[in-house]
Amino acid sequence: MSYLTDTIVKKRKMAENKRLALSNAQLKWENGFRGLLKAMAMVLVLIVIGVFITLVIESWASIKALGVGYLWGKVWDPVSNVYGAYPFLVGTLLTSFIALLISIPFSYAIAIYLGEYNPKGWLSDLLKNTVELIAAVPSVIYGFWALSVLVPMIRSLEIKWQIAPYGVGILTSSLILAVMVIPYGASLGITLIRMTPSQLKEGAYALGATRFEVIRKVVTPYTRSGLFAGVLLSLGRALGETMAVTMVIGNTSALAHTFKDMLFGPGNTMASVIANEFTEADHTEYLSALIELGLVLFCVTVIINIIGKRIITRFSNN
Amino acid sequence: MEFSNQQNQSLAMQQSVRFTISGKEKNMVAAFFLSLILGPLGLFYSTTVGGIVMTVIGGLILLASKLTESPFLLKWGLIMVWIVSMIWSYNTAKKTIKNAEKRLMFRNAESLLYKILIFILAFAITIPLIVILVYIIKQGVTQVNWHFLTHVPAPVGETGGGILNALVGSFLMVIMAAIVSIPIGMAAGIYLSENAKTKLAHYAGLCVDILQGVPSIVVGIVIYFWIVKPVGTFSAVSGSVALAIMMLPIVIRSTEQTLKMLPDSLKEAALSLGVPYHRVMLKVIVPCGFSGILSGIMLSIARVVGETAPLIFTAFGNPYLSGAVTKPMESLPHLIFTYATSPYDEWHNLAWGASFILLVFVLTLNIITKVITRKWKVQL
Amino acid sequence: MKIMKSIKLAVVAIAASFVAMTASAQDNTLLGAGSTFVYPLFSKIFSQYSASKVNYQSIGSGGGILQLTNKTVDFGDSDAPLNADQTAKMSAPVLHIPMTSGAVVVTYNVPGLKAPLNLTGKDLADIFLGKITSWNSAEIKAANKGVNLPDLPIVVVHRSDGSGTSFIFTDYLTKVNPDWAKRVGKASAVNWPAGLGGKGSEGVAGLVKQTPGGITYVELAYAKQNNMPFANIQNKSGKFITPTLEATTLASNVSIPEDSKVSITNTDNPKGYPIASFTWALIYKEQDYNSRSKARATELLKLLWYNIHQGQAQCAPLNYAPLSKSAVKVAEKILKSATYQGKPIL
Repeated sequence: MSYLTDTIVKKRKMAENKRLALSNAQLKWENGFRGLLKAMAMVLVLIVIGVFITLVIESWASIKALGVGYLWGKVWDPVSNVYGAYPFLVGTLLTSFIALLISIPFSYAIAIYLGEYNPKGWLSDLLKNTVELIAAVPSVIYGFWALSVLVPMIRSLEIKWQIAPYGVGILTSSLILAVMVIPYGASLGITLIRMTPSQLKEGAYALGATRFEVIRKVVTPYTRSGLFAGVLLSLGRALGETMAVTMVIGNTSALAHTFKDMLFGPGNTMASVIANEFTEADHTEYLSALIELGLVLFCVTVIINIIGKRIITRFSNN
Repeated sequence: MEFSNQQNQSLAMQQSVRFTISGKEKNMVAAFFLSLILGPLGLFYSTTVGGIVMTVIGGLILLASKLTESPFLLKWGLIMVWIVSMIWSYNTAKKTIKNAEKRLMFRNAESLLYKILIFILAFAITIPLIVILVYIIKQGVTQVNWHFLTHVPAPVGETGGGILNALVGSFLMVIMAAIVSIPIGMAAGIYLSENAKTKLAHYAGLCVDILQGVPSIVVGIVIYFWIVKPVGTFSAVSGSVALAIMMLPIVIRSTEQTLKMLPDSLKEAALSLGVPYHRVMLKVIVPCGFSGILSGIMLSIARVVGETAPLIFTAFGNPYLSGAVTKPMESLPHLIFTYATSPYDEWHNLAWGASFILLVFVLTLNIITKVITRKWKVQL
Repeated sequence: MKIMKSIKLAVVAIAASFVAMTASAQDNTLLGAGSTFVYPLFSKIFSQYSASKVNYQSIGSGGGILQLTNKTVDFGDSDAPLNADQTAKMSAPVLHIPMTSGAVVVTYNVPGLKAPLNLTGKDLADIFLGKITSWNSAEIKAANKGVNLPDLPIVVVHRSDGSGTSFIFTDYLTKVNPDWAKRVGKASAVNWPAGLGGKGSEGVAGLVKQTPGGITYVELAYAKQNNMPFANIQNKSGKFITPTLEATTLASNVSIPEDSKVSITNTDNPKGYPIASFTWALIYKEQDYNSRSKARATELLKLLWYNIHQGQAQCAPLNYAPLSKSAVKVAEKILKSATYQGKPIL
């Protein structure tokens, strides 16, 4: 009798041990997998930190030598080792802001059209696909097209207006930048405008407001912060755009003297001067000055993107 | 005149609004044309305050342009003053109309005009797209033939040649970048969707946003210092690493968002059946969200195959066909950049052909992605 | 899912086999980078040279020097000899081997002209200083009596990258205009007081070709290849010289020092073209660095030997002046002084 119970107990224990062994093995796999996932997420953080650290280390020579005055130094002269980022800050800000100004009415219109007037249907699908295709075209192709078509057009315009017929310049690069930046503001705007609660809109309609008044007085104030975030994100994109701008901006590191020259004349953005001069920076101060530009660019775009995304999450969570 | 209930209500609403409609009723059309002709002075017809403000501003612009001696400022400044005066006078005149029906008529007209304006501005975006596409297709399609696709560029001054080195180079580099970034991206995306509340997920999410916003040229610089300089040579591998870093945010975000959309019940059902965690994720959850993840991957490939800036300092370029990944390699966008900015017509033609192929490839990928997301909707 | 899996497997297999197959093939391509000045010539010579493949990227002399300093290329090429700063940066002695000499011409885009313009050195510098701003100004008219010059603003175009061509040009301007010498000086990348920047000879030639009123400086080869007009420049003896092969050869016919570094701008030769220069290939004297093999070093030297001998046949058709006999002798001596682990290679 006890022999029977003994074998039964033994067998049960063996079965339990086997199950335990199996679960232990399985547990090891599971934990390994979870650990792998966590590690990959950490890799991400490490990459970003690594990027920042590399930029700081490589620009340290320039930071130490030139200090904060670098940011408003007006002369960029690699020969006499005088470096100032001011001309490129001006170029970057000018091109980005002009591009934004030009693109805001269009992206706003697209967002309103697809969010309010026509959210579904073949026409709205067509528009949506068009906007996405514009975002998909690579920037070299925009640059090449701008170089071949836009530049001669602007040149003949300048000849008509009695301005020096550069063709390339701040205006041309702002124009092509505006086209490239429209999809970003538009797609964000569409999502936000669709999020306006319909009760608000219907209340306004019930009070006798026309469509225009509803949009102007209900939808726009409601989505104002979100639209602002969309503008910020478009700005972030515009600031970092390199290729198309490099091909049509004229590549001059001198500051323009007259208002006309500032708009129609050549210039340089932080990204384009890095692209042009990185492979030729043959002494340390030159190279680290260029990398300091990259660091400034990195910090500015990161800050703008984070602020924009934060506004959007706060907006969608409300 | 019969007022409907609705119009009664709106009339009542308007009459209890902040400002009272007092004073003379101004004709909007008259106001508009007066300020069109007289500028800020015409504004006095509808509002004295506005008239004073705009005239002062106009005077300041005259003064400023005389001081800076810029006819540019004068011309554009006065145009702005004129436009603002016109809008201001129109608006204030509109507010003085007492008759509700008349106002309604004007408001409806306004709304219609706005709708037309929005329509025009919104569809204006199709113009540059069509113009650019047509131009590139026209210039490029004549270049593409079998010879073009199977030969490397000819030396300067000779006709013929093709883009084979760039085609092979782009293909290799993108595949290598995908091999690196897809596993890492999917794993990180799974982690972010599963452990959304942890601190690591919060910071990792922040880093994904940062990476997405980093200008591609900064990535190129960093990879130059991480890989090219220590190893001592430009290489396709370094180019692929730069491209992989640019692909990561897109893959991660799409994986995370797709997986977040799946119901918890799916995962819990599998877990309750005793399926180990890794099997649950890899064999149940990921296949369910496959279309979303795949579309993210294809979008990231489409994005990265057109990137030039990170490749200038890493892959360097190569006029020969080469499969050696530890040496410099040419790529489609780099070839377009180099040849487009050259003064040789033969090189321009090569660049057009290459642009055509790149464009077709990118657009095809995007269209396929759309079809996938539509046909293979995430199985809920 | 099975289809997906097999497709995935197939893609990976193809890619892996491709990579393996091509990576296993020995890659003996020699890497060079540098001057855009010499690129048309190098492109032709290297396509004819069958013993090795040469990947030369024309990123500008400054870029070539940088890549050689970083040891990421086998050889560089520069239109300006290394200055003291750059020599100090190189971790080891560098040999300058003259390849050819060429003319830097001033090309312009002025519609309606029937013959090339005459320009003096001083006026040229003033144009690039931004002091002379119109094509029908008094100074240009004085040098071109009887020519109908249009009232067109001058659009100055210069190199935006570090360029040996810029060095040659600014070297000349420094010698002929004291104002330029004081304000700007000579270097491969200067603080240009006026005008647009273009990348590479290709970039500036392209810009001027499309801009009415534009003026820039490029190698003779680029201007000829693109059918662009170029000016006759007044040399030291006061004559307006057309940049031709002969004028360049006359200017470069000077005695070359042992290390071959010499400047031939503003030449004394009465018929010589004043804006000419040699271009030098740069290699490390001691070729055993970064675990380079002896075979690779020998291939490099054989390539450069070919350049200064058989390769010279390609110079004249492309309007570069071939090296004179004495220059070739100096170059041979320099090449023979290159060593691998202390022993001469050739």
